Formats: sequence, structure tokens, C-alpha cells
Amino acid sequence: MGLLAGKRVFSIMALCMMVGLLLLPIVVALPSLAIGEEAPAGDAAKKDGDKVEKGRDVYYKTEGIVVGAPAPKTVDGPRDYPRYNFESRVLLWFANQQHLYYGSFVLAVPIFCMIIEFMGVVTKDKALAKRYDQLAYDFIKISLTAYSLTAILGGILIFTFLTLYPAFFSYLSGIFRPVMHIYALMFVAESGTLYIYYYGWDKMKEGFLKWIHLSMSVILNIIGTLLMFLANSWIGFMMSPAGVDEQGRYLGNIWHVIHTALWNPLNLHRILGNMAFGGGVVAAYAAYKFLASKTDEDRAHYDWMGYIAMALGVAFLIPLPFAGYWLMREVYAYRQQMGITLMGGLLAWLFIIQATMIGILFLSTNYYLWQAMGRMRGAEKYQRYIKYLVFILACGYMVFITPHTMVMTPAELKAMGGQQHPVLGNYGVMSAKNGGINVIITTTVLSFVWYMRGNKVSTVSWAKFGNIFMGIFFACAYFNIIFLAVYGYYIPANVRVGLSVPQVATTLSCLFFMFALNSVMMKGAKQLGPIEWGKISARSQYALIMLATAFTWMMGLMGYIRSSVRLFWHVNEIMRDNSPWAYTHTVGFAANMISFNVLFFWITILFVFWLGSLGAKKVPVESKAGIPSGVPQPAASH
Amino acid sequence: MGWMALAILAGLLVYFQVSISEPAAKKRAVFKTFIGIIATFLLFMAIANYKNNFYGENRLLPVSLVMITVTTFVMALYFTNLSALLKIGGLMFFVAAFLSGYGNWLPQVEGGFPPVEEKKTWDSMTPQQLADEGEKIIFGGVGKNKEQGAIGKGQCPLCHAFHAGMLGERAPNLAGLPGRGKERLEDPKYSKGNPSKREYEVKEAFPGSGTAENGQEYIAESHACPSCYVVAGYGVKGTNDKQSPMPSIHKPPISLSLAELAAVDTWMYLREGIDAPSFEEIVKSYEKFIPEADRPKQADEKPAGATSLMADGTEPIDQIFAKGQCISCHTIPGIPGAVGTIGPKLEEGTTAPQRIKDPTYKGTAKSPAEYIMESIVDPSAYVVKPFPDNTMPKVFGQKLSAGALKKIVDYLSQVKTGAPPPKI
Amino acid sequence: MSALNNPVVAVIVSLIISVGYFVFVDHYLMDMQGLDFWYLFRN
Repeated sequence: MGLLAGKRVFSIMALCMMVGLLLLPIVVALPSLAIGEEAPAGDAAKKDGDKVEKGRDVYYKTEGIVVGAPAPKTVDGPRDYPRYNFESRVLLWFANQQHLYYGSFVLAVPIFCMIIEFMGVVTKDKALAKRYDQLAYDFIKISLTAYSLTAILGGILIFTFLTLYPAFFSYLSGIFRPVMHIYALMFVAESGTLYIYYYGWDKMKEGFLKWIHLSMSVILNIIGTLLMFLANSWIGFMMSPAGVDEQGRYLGNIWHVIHTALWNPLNLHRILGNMAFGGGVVAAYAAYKFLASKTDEDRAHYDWMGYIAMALGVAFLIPLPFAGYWLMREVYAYRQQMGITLMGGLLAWLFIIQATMIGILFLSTNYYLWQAMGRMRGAEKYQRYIKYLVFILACGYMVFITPHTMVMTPAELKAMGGQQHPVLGNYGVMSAKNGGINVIITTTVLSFVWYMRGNKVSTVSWAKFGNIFMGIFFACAYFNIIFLAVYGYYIPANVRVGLSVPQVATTLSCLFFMFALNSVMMKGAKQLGPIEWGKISARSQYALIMLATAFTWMMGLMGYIRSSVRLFWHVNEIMRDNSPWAYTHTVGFAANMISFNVLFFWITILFVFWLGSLGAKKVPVESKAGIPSGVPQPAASH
Repeated sequence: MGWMALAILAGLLVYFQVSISEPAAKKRAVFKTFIGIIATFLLFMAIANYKNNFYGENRLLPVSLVMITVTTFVMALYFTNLSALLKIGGLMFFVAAFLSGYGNWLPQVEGGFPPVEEKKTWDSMTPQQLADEGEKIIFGGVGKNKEQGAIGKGQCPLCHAFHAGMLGERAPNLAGLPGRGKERLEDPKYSKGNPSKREYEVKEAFPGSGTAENGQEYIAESHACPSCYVVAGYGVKGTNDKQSPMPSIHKPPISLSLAELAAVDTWMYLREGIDAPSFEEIVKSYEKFIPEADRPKQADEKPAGATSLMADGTEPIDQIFAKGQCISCHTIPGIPGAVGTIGPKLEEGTTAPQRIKDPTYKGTAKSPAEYIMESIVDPSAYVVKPFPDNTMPKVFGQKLSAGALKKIVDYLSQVKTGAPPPKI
Repeated sequence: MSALNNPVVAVIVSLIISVGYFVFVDHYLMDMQGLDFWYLFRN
């Protein structure tokens, strides 16, 4: 056993070293690229002072030697903006969004695989371990087809850039030249690792090899995450350029170009977003398989798979707003004007849509959990209370989505210049709306608690007190949130803002304390009945699909917001967009476009799923045919 | 393309009619193809609708999606082996349709084209180009000078009228200014060449600057130091015309650069058909009255995004009052510098409820907050006696963000007569 | 422990803890932003 453990540690160390060696050239190359251009430049500057032109970094404010060409001043015409008889920007939007959907899906799924495979390895229950392992394998199988589609879409995206925005793309690739090559090399590494990981699954099933396999998933994810970071550096540069001077001339420090003001917040936000999105897509896949399956066994498996995927997705959804808050804060710190355009100006209506979407996500989650209680024997006692939860949720949702117009009536709106006006000061930080969303989240927490204790009865000696305490704590939390919301109406807006902090604190208290208390109470609890996987209603699966679709839509929406906040800049404040499409579309057009993207993604991915099911149908037939025919054959030969 | 699909289905219909002999099966097959035809029809109608209205202002696009939803559900009923897939697709179409519809239902804001803004090379412009820039600074666009309420970053039309016969209640009408400048120099009160004899609050733009010697210098001095000479009748009330309500244009919040001021002046000359002094001459006239340290830097200018608001609502309340130029005309307790007397003193916490009850009040406001909002966006709804109507510009609804308006309303509704002013 | 399982005692104890906790949270977090429960009545 000790030997085995030693071997495991050794194998992981060896693999890490291998990866380290692989990545070493890149790590070494990065600073040398930066310094290599800086060091001789420093000497040169001393030798012939005025021959070398110096520039000042727009963000880091450091001096550097100009090594790149200035950002081209484009003019509308076939040279800088060749086009079909169609809006180039919409084509690019489409290509980009599809690539991003598939990209984030294939980045997220290996992370799930890693988590689930690890759970399978560490769990003591052999049957459960096997199920986890099978689930992880299922996940990676889905992502494999999507992986090649991602690469194809990436190619389409590059061609779209090259053919429709040649001036812009050549400028960008001029600055990111080394990064783009590293990106391409890492993509090769990612593919290699993925294929070994997938095809080696059966070979590396046991003991020591399994650990190697598991550590390969870690490597896969490290490479994938780095890939995404590099790609993020490009959009980060477009939003908040650094490492170039005012004319957009590259100053020789590649790290400055990568590490822009918004790079790290974008990285975090995207990782979390990808995970939530991946969870949604896998849940939708499970729902599809559940609805299409004919046997109880299949149904049980896919029911379980959908539940796990949903739980993982929601787990990453909860910290997402905090990452978003960080990103927003950095945006304000970088350029206040940009923040205002987002939250109070041109794009603010899109945030109203986002609020609706958040509501939809939570409602679907709750609905799924209630339906999921239906497969638990013993959870019936909670069923009759659900209608009250529905009532609370509906009230919270109504308050949340109602645009608040205490001061401005429609007539006044008109007097203010109609819809052209950025009208959103009112919707900002209304304590009433905060109350609505906090009620919704608290109710979701309550639903989760009910679900977790559904078929169990606590056996701890203070069970009764625990239950009463939990009930009263929730009641007080609701009361507190609503009290603060109402209180907010009576005090002026400038001080009212402060009330949202205790409201959020109340919700988070419920989340952490009640989850903790519940799990302590349920330790070694008596089971009233088993969870009958597969006995869930079909409606719940539609809730999962709803969740996934809403996720996809929201991702498209937020991506659109992030991209269009640059307004008429290719690279913010460095390179102007002089194409005929430099204006910002209306909300309605954006919504239609997002819908189109979402539907296109889902149609293609459903097609991918369907292809997968064609392959899977053959396998059982062959294996079923193989085993019985394999057994009688020796008998016949004897 | 749609017709081909329909033709195939119609062909199938005929084929089934002929080939299947068993009546039950035949009926089923016919029924299926019939449903198929309807579904295809719906689908292609939806696609056509989508295609034709892709760019339009038409908000019926989501209807297409609803039609597709119906199609998929109808088809799911009859193609049972694919029903899960079809139902899922249908649900997704429905969700997308709902969200699209929601997006189209919201007010539609389009961020217009960015201002064509190449780096301005002021000194190489022709006088006409310079004048156009000047008109943009004053009115917000070329050719807008006769539009009611047009206003640019210079904010001049808030107080000044520019055409003969137009109302100039708060400040002199600027029609004929180039000629009048010279006359003003001869006014004994101007005290040309001897600033210390002046009776105004400020004697010189800065110590040692002296007085204007020609018409252009007079204009420059008026911009740089409004209180150096006040036209009779336009001083701050109660100061006996010793002090001007006009802010120094090169200082915040307006902060026009010397080049921009030169553009403004060039427009003033050219619109009267008079040849303007050269760019260099005008800039020089301003340099006489604005010391080096006070000159705003052209490079600091940032593109202001898609909207041109005076205040966006993120500023503290006192800055909003300053940026909106409210303080030039109104006295607002608690706001530094807000000692204007052209409009009423703003103690809306006390006065607003009284005015709503006034029998002559014809506005729509029901609460003090609504009344204040109405007074800002529609000043003529109720005019406080004895102040004349049409004095306050009607542009603040467009020029202040909702956030800024809300801050103003919040602040003013807390100001009460006889009570200490609210905290900023 | 058995005393705690008496419903009446449990309700009272829970109420004291919960109300106390939320009052504390509200007060502390509002205080950080220059707010308090009596803001409305002072103005």
C-alpha cells in the first residue's frame, strides 16, 4: 500500500515535470521576448539618442522603445473593410459567438470530468465509483465531437477576420505575433492530451495507471485554461489596451500587452461562466437522453447525470455575480465613462434583460428541485408546502422585473426626449428590486435545503430544536429582507444604496449557515425511502433545458454587452472603427441576433448529440451480439 | 427553395395515395404528409419573415420564432420517434422567442454613428471649417443655430440669444457682436487702458493683463473675465451690475480650449459676413487675458461616448448643479456659488407642495418630487411669479441623465425654508 | 438538550438568536455606510 502510494506520488511528480518541461520554453520565451527587445533598445538609446523613437505606454505609463507600426487609420472602403452585400459585423458576431459557445463548452467539460473522475477514484463505494467513472467518460465523449467543431469554428472565425477586417486583424496579429504562435502550439498540446486522455481511458483503468490518467486530466485543464487566458488577452487588449503608445505602436513589452487592466477579471469571470454554461449544456444533454430513452435503467442514469450537471452548474453560478462585480469595478476604475455606458447609459436596457434572465434561471432551478423531490420516497411531506414557495417566488420575481418608476411617469419620459434618453438612473440600485432578487435566492436556498433533507429524518438529539431554529431563521431572514426593502422607499436614493449590503448579507447568511446546519443535522440520518432515480417527471427535464437555453442566451447577451461597450473603437481609444457598422444596434436587434445564435448553437449541438446516439446505439448491439456469440463458439468447437 | 420542399411533400401525398392500399395506413400516411405540409409552410413563412425584416424596425421578428415553436410541437405529435428532440427544440425556440420579444418590447435605443473625429488641426483649417467647429461647440452641430434648444459643449445658448429679436433675458443678445465690441470699448465705464478705474468686482483678467485694445480683444476678455465689464442690466441682481453671472469659459466646468474659443469667435464673425481675424490673431487675443497656467490642454479632451450629457449622474450633487449651469440663475441653499437671481430661489421642500395646490397650477405633478421633475424638463408648465416665462431653457431633459435628474430632485426636495440645507 | 426540545423553549431561544443576529448584521452593515434604523425619523 505504501509502495503504491509512493508510486502514485512519483507518477504525478513525473507528469508534472514533463508538463513543466513542455511549458518551460514558453515561460522562458515570454520574458525574453519582453526583455530581449528592451535590453538592446536601452543600449541603442544611449548610443544614438534621437534616432530611436520613444513612446509612453497608455496604461502602464512606462517609457518604451517604439518597435511596432502605429494603428492604421482605416477608411471605409474595399481596402480596409471588404464585404459581401451584408453587414460584416453581424457575420463576425455570428462566427465569434459560435466559436465561443463551443470553446467554452469544451473547456468546461474536462473540468467536470476531472472533478467527477476524482470523486470516482476517492469514493469507497465500488458501484458508485464505477458510475462516476462512466459518467466522466460520457462527458468527455460529448466534448470530443464538440472539440473538433470548436477548431473548425475557430478557423472560420480567423478567415472571417482576415477577409472582412484585414486592416484590424493585421494590426492585432502584429502586436500579438508571439502570443498567437504560442496559442497555436498550445492548441496542439491540448489536442494531444485530450486524445490520449480519451482513448487511454480503458487502458488506464486500474490502480497506478488510473492516477496517471487522472493527472492527465489536470494537465489537460491547465493547458485549456492557459489557452483561454491567452485568447482573453486579445479581447482584454481591445477593451483596455496597454503596452502600446497613444498611436498604438507596440513598445516591446509583451507582458504589458497581455496583462491589461481587464485581463484578470475577464479570466475569472470566463472560467466561472464557462463552468456554469458547461453544466447547463451537459444537463440539457442528459435531459434529452432521459426523454429519448426507452428503458428504466437508462432513465435512472440520465436522471442522475442531469442532477449532477445541474448541481455543478448552479454551484459555479452562485459565485459568478461576485466575479462580475469585480469585473465591473475594474471597468469603472479603468474608464468611468465605460462603466456608465454599461450600467447607466446606452447599454443599460440590456442589464434589465439580464435581470429577467437571472430570475428565469432561479425559477427553473427551483422548479427542477421541486420536481426532483418527486423521485424521493418520503419527501411527500414537503410537497404541499411548495405552493407557498411558488407564491413567494412569484412575488419576488414581479418586484424584481418591474421597472421602478416612482418619479418618472411615461409622460415625463416623453418630455425628457423619449426613448433616446438614458433613462436608467432609476433602475440602478433600488432597494426594492434588491429585495426581490434576495427573496428569490433565499427561496432557492430553502428549496435546496428541503431537497437535501427530503427523504431523511434527523437523528441527532437536538433535532427538534434544529428544525424550529431553521424555520425561525428563514422567517427572520425573509422579514429582514422585506423590511429593508420597504424601509428603502422612505429614505432618499443617495443613502438607500447602503441598504443592499445588509440584504445581501442576510441571503448569504442563509446560504452558509443553513447549509452547514442542515448537513450537520443530516449526518447519519434515518432514510425514509430511497431516491428512485429515473422516477422524476418529464417536466423537470424541460426545466433543465430551459435552464440551459437561458444560460446560453445570457452568455450571448453578456458577451454582446462586453463587446459593444467599446462603441466605435476596434481597440479602445487606439484604433477607430470607420466601417459603416460602427454604431451600436438597438436592443431589439441584439436580442434577435442573440436568439439566432442561441438557436443555431442548440440546433448544431442537438445534431451532435443525435450523431453520438447513432454511434452509441450500435455499440450495445455489437457487444450484446459479441458476448453471446463468443460464449457458444468455444462450446461449438469442442 | 421552400417551394421545392413543398413540392416533394405534395408528391409524397400523391405517392401515398397511389401506393398504399390498406385504408388505415393510407389515412395515417396522408395525414402525416398533410401535417408536414402545414409545418413546412409555417416554417418557410417564419424564415421569410425573418429574412425580410432582419434590418427593419419591425418588432415582429419573434413571431417567426413562435411559429417555428408551433411547428416543432405539431411535428412532435406525429413523428413520435423524434418527438423528444422536436419537443426540446420547440421549447428552446419558445424561450428564444420570449427573450427576443422582451428585447423588442423594451425601448429601442440605437447608439448613433460616432462623431467623425479625426485629430483636429486647428491652425490649418480654413476660416469656414473653423466657423463650423465653432457652431458645433455652441449649438452641437453645423446648421443648428436657429434650432430651439440646440446646445453644444460651450453651453452658450443656455443664456445668450444669437439672433435679432430672440429673447435675451439672462444675457445680452449676441447678434451684431463684432461691430458692437468696438463701441463697448468707448464706453466710459469700460475705462479702456486704465483698468484700475473700473467699478466692477474684477478689475483685470489677471494682474497686469490690461484692457482690450480692439474688438477681438474685447470678445476675448468677455470670455476670459466676464466680470471685468458688465453690460448694464445683465449683472447679478443686487450687485448693481458690478458682477456678471457668466462663468469664465476657459475654466471648469465648460473648459473650452483657446483653439475652441477661436473657432467660436470665427463663427461669430463669419455669420455676419465679416472677415474674421486669423486663427493666430484670435488665439493671441486670448493669451493676453488667460495666463499660461489656466489654459486648458487640448490633449485632455476625451471622446465623450455616444451621448453628450452635461452631467451623467455620477458626480456629487454640487457638481451637477455647476455643470448644468443651474447656479448661474438660481440660488440654492447649501450649494457653493449658487447665488443666481434670474430664477426663483430653490427651496422646493417648502415651495413645491404650495405650488401644486396653487389654483393657477396647470401641470400634471401630484407630488413634490414630480413637481420638481416637471419644472426641470418642462419649465413652462408652471412659472413662478414674478419671473417671466421662457427664461429657463427647455433642454435639461435631454442634457441631464436620469441619474443626475434624480439626484437633483432628491436634493431639492430636502431643501426647506428656514431649515439648515441638507448635507451634500 | 431535552429542555431545548421543548417547542416553546426552542421557539424562544431561536427567536432570540435569529432576531439578535439580524439586528446585529443590519446595524453593523448600515453603520458602515452612515445609515441606521432611525435615519427616517431623524430627517
